[in-house]
Amino acid sequence: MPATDPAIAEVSCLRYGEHEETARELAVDASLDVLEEAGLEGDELDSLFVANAFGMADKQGHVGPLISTAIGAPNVPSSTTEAACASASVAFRHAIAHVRAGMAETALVVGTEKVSHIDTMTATSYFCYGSDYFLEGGVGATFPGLYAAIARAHMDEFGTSEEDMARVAVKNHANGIHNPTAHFQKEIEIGDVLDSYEVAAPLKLYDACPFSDGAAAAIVTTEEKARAMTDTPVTVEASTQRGTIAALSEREDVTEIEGTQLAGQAAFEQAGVSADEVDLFEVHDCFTIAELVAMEDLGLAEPGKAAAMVREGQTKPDGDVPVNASGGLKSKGHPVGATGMGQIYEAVEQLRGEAEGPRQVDGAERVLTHNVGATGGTVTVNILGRGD
Amino acid sequence: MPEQELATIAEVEDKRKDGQLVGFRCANDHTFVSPVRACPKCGTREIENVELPEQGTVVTFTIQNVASEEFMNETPFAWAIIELADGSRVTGWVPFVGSEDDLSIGDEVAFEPTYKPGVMFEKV
Repeated sequence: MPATDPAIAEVSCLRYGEHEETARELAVDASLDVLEEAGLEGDELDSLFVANAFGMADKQGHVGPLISTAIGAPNVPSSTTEAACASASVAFRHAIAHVRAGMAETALVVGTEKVSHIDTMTATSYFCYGSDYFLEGGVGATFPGLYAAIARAHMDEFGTSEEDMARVAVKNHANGIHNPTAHFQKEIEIGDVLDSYEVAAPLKLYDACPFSDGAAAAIVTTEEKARAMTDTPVTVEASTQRGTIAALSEREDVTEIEGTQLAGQAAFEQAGVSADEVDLFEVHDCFTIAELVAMEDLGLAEPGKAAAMVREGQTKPDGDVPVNASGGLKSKGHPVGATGMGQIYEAVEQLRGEAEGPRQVDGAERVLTHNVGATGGTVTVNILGRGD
Repeated sequence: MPEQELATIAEVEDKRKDGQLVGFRCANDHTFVSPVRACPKCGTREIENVELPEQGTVVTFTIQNVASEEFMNETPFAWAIIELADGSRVTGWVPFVGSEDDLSIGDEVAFEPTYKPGVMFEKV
């Protein structure tokens, strides 16, 4: 039996930032938005895939049935995926797999997170639980600390500077101004980054993405059904996932993330394209250093050379290799369990030519999304293309 | 397969309290501190408990000005990846590191048993 090609019919994204609603309510809002866009009722779904990392913050697990109930589809099978910051893109892959295998014709994927009601120390502690706690969180490392250890090794190996990292933040904030779903719509300068509070040296507050609340969703279905729902479906040319040895200290090289290299190579092979044929890269910039490392691991730059591309403006939306036109996690925000779906939302907006202002990449035909769980224990890459 | 029972996380932590760093080494000489039961590098299940040296050098580190609940009273401190004398790598924290003047990549550190959380190293 030939495999069924899955496609994205519609997407939705709530503005990232601070919301009063709980994670389950945010998920319901994003789900109803995407159902309306697709002209579907809840009970027309064959499956619901939820992504959520910090249910403990809401004292609520098992959110799938709460969401299906609230959207009028209590009998639809649901499950929740947790893969730290990559939860949503892994849930998306589950939907792709179900449609491809014929286990579901139409699936709704929704990522959701709510953290603004907990204090910074509690949020910092929850993030630590996503590391190898025995070797990292429980030995004093916070998430900024782990990426700071990557940054310091990268600086030592390649001469990457704090200014190089700051430029990533400046570029992503400049893009975020034009993104109505972004948590921060505020221009910043290199000095703002360098003078900000040193959370985990060498990383400063403005090297880090914010904790955000938010939700984003998509309808994943067969190409045929997607065409019946919209004139502008988006095709999934590749969807890959790889892992890396969980703890940084047990890897040979902390200046790279092997899972990104492997997932990237597999995605280019699956799509039958090279990086040159991709018009926009939405990569996982939870910290500024992470964007540089992602560019190098995806093969957009030689090891140690990504910073020069940022310096030369090549990664701006009108540059040769646009990276994070959405503003990235840095400016758009990082509602952990929703982030991977937010990247897919941006890809669809870009492919439809509907991204606001100068953040639209002219004539975007193909977009790559890259989502990382923790420091790369989980990595997903999707290559999405115009299906019209 | 070795007859020896591989240590649990609780046993590794108990040994630390007694002043001994331990880990796991495979037949092909790959060493891990996380409780692996097959080698992540070569796949062999021939793994044994191993005692690790107490001194090493800093591979990379961060200065934690903000910490999780467990470490809130220790800031600022360094969290570091440390390469021990036998080439194996461990993680730990180094107290009283508040600026880059206090610690550098390549610095010698030694394991220091403590009642505090985690695995503490001090500059030699």
